[in-house]
Amino acid sequence: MIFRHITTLLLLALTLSAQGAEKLRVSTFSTVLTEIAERVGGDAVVVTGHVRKGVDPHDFQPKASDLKAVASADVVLLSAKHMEGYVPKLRESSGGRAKFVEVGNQLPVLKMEHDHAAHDHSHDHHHHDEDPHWWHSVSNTIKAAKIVRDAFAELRPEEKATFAANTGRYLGELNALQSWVKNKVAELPRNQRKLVTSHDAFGWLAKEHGFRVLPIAGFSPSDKPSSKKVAEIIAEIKASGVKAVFTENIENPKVVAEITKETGAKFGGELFSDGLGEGEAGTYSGMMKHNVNAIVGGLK
Amino acid sequence: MRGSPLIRALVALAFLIALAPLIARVTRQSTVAAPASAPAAETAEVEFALQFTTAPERVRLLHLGKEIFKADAPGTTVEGKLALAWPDEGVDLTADIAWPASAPLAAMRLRVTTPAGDEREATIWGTGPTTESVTIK
Repeated sequence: MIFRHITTLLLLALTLSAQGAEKLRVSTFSTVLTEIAERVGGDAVVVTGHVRKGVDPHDFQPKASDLKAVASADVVLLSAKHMEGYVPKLRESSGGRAKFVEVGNQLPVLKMEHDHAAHDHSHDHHHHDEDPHWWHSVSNTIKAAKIVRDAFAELRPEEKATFAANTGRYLGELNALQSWVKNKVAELPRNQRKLVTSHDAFGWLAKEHGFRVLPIAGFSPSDKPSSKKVAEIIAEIKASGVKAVFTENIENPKVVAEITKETGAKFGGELFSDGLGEGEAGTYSGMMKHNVNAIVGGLK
Repeated sequence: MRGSPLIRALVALAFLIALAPLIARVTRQSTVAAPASAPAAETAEVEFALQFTTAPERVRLLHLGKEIFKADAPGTTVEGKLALAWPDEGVDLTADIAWPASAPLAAMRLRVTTPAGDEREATIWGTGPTTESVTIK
């Protein structure tokens, strides 16, 4: 009888111990947030990145397997700022179990001019006047890391010190990156900071570093530019002597090819607009350095 | 129908001359436009002054990635003049400062008189080797 009681107590202790060591299950819907979650959480979290590197988050729709993972997640990290139109589906799958952190909605707002006549809508996409591509500001990414740190610490208070230490190391790298970006952009005369890109994704970079963005299409890569818009951009490039035009990693660069042919501006390279990519752009720091090197090198 | 080779050559030449405007138009359409150049900014001579809370071992100022001023052991104040291409949008100046490794957090205040005669100031904080860019408009 005593033996049975001891066995029961041992089993109970083992169960409680296992629960204490259980890792925080994190579902993310942005490649940048996947990196932040992994760096902040370290060994104390298990991260499922539902939007893979190189995938267009504007067009991403969760599959049944994604919804199943969300159903067992403790925390769901969202880029927000209207990027994920499928949040109600995720909430339904979670059934109130997970904490939803809409990271972008806790960051500053950047209003953008939006010209509906400038492109054709060939898809079911809702436009908002706020730029959702907040990660092109390193300051925003620093703030996002702190938001994720605080969310994790709230759910696992016993790991608070670990999350703080991990975040501290990550923020050190992000601060160094912020200085690097500023110093690199300083190599480019301020009157040559005109950025012609396929879609309107670099508003934050422009705001922080004095660029004027001339987007060929709208916020989403699937927006189609009107011929009037393309003609206006060609005229602007010719008038202001823009030296290079850029495409993005997730779309067809046909229109950009036409513009370079008409204007004589060179093709400045491929930029990573909607999150992390492959190769050197596989990390946040690598993505930012790739973009800034291409922009500064192309426009010099 | 076999005419003299000379007449046939003349007919062919006349045909080509008649097509010349069309050929010229087609050729012009396929030519890539020459790139326009960005409007050049005028060079201006501007006065500057540096003030340090801790004397650095070395200070350099860079403009568009090129060194435009350098001083070793400059003390706590430096004054001088710089010739800079100064567009309406302003300029970015990069300060590369080497404070002694043992020094606590230090600051450098940069004061520039713009071509319009306005005074602008920016402060850079750091320890040890510090490279930071500031915008002067």
